Amino acid sequence: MNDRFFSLQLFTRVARTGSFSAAGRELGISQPTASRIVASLEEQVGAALFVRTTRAVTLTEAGSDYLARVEAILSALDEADHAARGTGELRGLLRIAASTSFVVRTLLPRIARFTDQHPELRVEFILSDEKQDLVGDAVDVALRVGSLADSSAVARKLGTIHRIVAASPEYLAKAGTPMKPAALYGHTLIVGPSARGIEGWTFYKDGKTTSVRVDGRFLLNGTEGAIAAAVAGLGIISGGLLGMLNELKSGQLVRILSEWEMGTADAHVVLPAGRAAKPSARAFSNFIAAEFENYADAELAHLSLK
Amino acid sequence: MKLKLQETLDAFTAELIDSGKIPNDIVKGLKEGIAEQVASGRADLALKAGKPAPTFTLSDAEGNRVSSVELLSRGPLIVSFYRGVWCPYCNIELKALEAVREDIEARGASIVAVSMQTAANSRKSSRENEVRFPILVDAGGFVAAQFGLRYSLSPETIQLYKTLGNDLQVINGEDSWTLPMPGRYVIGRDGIVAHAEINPDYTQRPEPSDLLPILDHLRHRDAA
Repeated sequence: MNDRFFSLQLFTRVARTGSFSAAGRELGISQPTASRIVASLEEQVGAALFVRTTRAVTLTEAGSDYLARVEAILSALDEADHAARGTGELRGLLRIAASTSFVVRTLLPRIARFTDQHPELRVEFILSDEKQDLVGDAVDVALRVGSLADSSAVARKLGTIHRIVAASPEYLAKAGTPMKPAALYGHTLIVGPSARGIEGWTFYKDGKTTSVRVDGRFLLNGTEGAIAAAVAGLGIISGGLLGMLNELKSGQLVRILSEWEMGTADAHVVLPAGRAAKPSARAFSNFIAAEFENYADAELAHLSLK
Repeated sequence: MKLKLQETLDAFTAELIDSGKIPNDIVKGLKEGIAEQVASGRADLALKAGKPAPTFTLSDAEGNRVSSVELLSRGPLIVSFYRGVWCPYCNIELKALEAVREDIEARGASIVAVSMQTAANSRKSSRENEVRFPILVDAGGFVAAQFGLRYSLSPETIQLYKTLGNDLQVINGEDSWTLPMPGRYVIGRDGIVAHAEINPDYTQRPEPSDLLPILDHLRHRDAA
């Protein structure tokens, strides 16, 4: 039991779960045993790795540093095993963080092409329209649109998403179709999570910049909800074209003010830095980069359509 | 039927070019200057709707102090950044704004123009364009800079302006050779920019009548 490799695995799981009993359960040992093995590891290392309180187990500064190095080593070992098997088959758990909308609309319909190649791979999606903490949430790979605040991450650009304004035909029949940005005043505006911090919509045309203050009437903290509100005819929505592609194709939403640009946001696939990326995370990021070229084409086709 | 502002401006441009009052090479140089401004993307750096507007106190052409905070306490405020009396497009716009001034005031709002030119030139602007709203003196363009509008003219444009007799050093009373991009702001009573339109192409201006539905909306919102 007092095997160094095992105690390092246990250490990383305690660090990630913040619990001796949870980590012990994962590895099939009891909480007192897990606690004893970690204590003996700390003795060998010669430093306290955790602060233990009655409520939580958290890493010390030395522990954090140790975790970053140890995880890289364990992951490299994993990779070496994997390379030796030579099958290219991926296994284990891949944790993917992305917005609900992106996963539901873009990823799930396509991901079988990736997962069918790797029957032993389990995939966990962490769905949130808020930006996630890659390290704290132990995410292996994340998809993000917009600015990247997390500097301790390795990002690869997937493509560019155009922001647009749209509404349902029913809403436009009732309230009229704005023909220029200044005509948005007096319309009912729907504000989703991507626009909540902005409070203004900006339009560009021929070098001219027009911006309107957004007094949203319907505010939703999820993109899917905001799109549903627009489909229900509640008002005008602004968001990424990709997220509304299905509704625009089906005619449930109509793009308005289409001769105005609203700017773009870049989509990235992000691997957390500070530890080596899992082979499955790297493979997934290659897969999604290749797939994204197709969505971008679809998006551009739609843009030129309008 | 009354011409729209942009139709008047376009007619002025066409007449200016057709009449040969300005030599072709100068027209070409001016157009290049505009294209360069548009391509620079500078308009995107200007303050946009949804953000708090900088507050200011400036003198009007007669030397009276005018405070944006004081005006906002009475209702929304329209601020039009004006290049100066030497710019025919700006004068046409001033007249067009004066034509809707009463409609603006009827909606409880006020309007000011802000320019970097000297008070004497602003008096001339008011007189020649029969403008009855204040033309404020933003000496050195500090307010324009706070709105993100002030830019330095290129050496080529400076040369062209000198050739045309538009010596900004004399007109503005300082030698920075900077100007505000033409910009029109509607500031709500809460001090937040409700609408902003910036166009580095000074031959293009938004329709003044577009302001009225915006003011109607603000009045409706503030009453709620």
